[in-house]
Amino acid sequence: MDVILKGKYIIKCKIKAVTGLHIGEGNNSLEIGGIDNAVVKDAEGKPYIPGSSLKGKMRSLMEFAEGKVRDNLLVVSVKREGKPEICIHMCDDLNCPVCGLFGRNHGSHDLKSGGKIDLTDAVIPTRLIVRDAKLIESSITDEMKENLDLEWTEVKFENNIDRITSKANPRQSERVPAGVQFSAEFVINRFEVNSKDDQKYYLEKFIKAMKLLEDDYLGGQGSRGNGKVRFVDIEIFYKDSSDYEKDSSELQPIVTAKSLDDLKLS
Amino acid sequence: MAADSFESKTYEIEILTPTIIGGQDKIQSFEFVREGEYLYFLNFDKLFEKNLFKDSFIEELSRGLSSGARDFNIKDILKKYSIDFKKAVKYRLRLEGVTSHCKEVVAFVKSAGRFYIPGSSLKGAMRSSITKALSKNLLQLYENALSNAYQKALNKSRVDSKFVSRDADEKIFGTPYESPFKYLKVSDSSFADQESAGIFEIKVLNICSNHAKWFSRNGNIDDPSQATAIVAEGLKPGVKLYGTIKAEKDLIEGNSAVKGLKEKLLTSGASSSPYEFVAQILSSVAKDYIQKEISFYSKYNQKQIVSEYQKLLSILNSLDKNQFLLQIGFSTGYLSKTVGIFFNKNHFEKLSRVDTQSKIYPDIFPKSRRLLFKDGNIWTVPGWIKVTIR
Repeated sequence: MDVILKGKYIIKCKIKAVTGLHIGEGNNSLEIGGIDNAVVKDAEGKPYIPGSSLKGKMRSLMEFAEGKVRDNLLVVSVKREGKPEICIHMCDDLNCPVCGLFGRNHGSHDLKSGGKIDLTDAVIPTRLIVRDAKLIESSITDEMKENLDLEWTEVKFENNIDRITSKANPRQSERVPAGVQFSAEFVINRFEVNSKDDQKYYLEKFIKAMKLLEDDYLGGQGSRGNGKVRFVDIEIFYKDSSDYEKDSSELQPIVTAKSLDDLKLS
Repeated sequence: MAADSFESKTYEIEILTPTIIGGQDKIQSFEFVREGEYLYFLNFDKLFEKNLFKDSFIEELSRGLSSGARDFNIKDILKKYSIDFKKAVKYRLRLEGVTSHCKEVVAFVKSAGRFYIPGSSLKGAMRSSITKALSKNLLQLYENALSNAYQKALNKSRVDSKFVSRDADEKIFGTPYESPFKYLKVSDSSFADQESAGIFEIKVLNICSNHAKWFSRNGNIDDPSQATAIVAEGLKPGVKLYGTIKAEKDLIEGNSAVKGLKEKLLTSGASSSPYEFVAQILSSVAKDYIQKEISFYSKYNQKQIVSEYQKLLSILNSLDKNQFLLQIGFSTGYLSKTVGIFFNKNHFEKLSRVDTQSKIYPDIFPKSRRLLFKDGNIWTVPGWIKVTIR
């Protein structure tokens, strides 16, 4: 397969937590005085959004939206006791918007419907790169800070209520409060594969994934309040592969938009 | 999965009666000052930062608190030290006809200091109501779960009253991974400004020997003005808050992994839209509940509350297909949160052995109700909201 890098689209934006955001750190923390169900934090102890969380969620939403969640199109990613536990879509269709944007793995995979699929010949470098999104500290106002339980985050209490006795079983989870913003960056490689130029096809598909995420949630406990996000102050840059041979110069965005509602590619 | 299921809709909550979503905290008497028609909530960090306190202020404050003096009033100490507390106030809330002494205040849930309704509260209340609409054979599973717990209690095995319904919940809806409620997504609401919130007074109606009495620490009494009051932060009637909601088709129709609600619920002519389907269920459950409560309050001659419930019934009867009524939050009682509305004396006898910490009178349970008071008079029931989905 012939693959040529034509250029890179770089999308810079802010991710605004419209409601509280809980991206769990897996409860492996042994932090003294730490709380149950903590959020993931960087080396400076500030919450951030891992690129893996963003990319994984967007892939999942696109799999549904592109009609790829069917047993014969799903491969088994994780098995438990010999049975499929986690399945994702991967296929050998070179025009697949999901695999083309989010990537596919080498080798042979078990299909959920039975049988195997070998993707070795279909693998090309993953087009989408998602950076970790860093906290914009100034988005936490002094007034918000005065009311936070922890330095950057709050603790939300919830109750499970028994439907027979009405007794409450309380639990707590840490979350980033609504209104906080993170600086995000995404890169989409534009390839020419077997003489076929991607043009803006995958950029358009990525914007679709952003829109799907705004109508869904990011992180945990999203079906009951958390994780509504908005992409704001969007700038899209394009760097042609030839630009990398030139002296560096101030790059101008090809598109800017306050929000996805205002974003027009053409 | 249909394409329309990717789009979320907007919900509008209109507060119909004062609504209190309790956080974990109770605000203690040294944390607020009552002046005129307002409670002012103090920001101690600001008091310290601005160096507004004098050396012995803290000593006097802690002495007053530790002695548990009934007449302790932080306002007196602040006055003594000429501290202008208004320079160090987090927020102030209007007293909505509160006549009782405010010893402590039930705090409303907040996010970074801002009032809102958590998606978890709204979704949890919706789920509780939907559960009440289950067919009789499925509600039987809750009766079985109660009987199992009762047998365990008789055999002196330990029963955790927090998890009595868990087996029935799982048999009906599956594990959380399989649950159709995965397909109901409700965001936290927008924030309410401080003018939308107020301080409300709640008293407990208690049925004793077939008569309405009022709870007080000295026993149940006839005169509500002498009854013990609970004081709480709440949202005022008329306030509107907004958020997003997504009800996917799999909530009601199911897929290969999930058995849907539709086949489990007793409905007639269910709408094709999951939103209208849910609204239809919730309105039907609310109507049944309101009618039962009207009957309860009529029996004990509580005209004001009967009138309030009749107003709610009239609102309910004029709702559009995309609207429903729901009762949420603090002080809304046993019936709003459980399937106990279907229980009879036999069930409550069992429940009294399962839940030994609560006072359960099998002949009449629940025998108390928490009601809002205004200017010393019985006013209304807490927590009723109207939800519109657009």
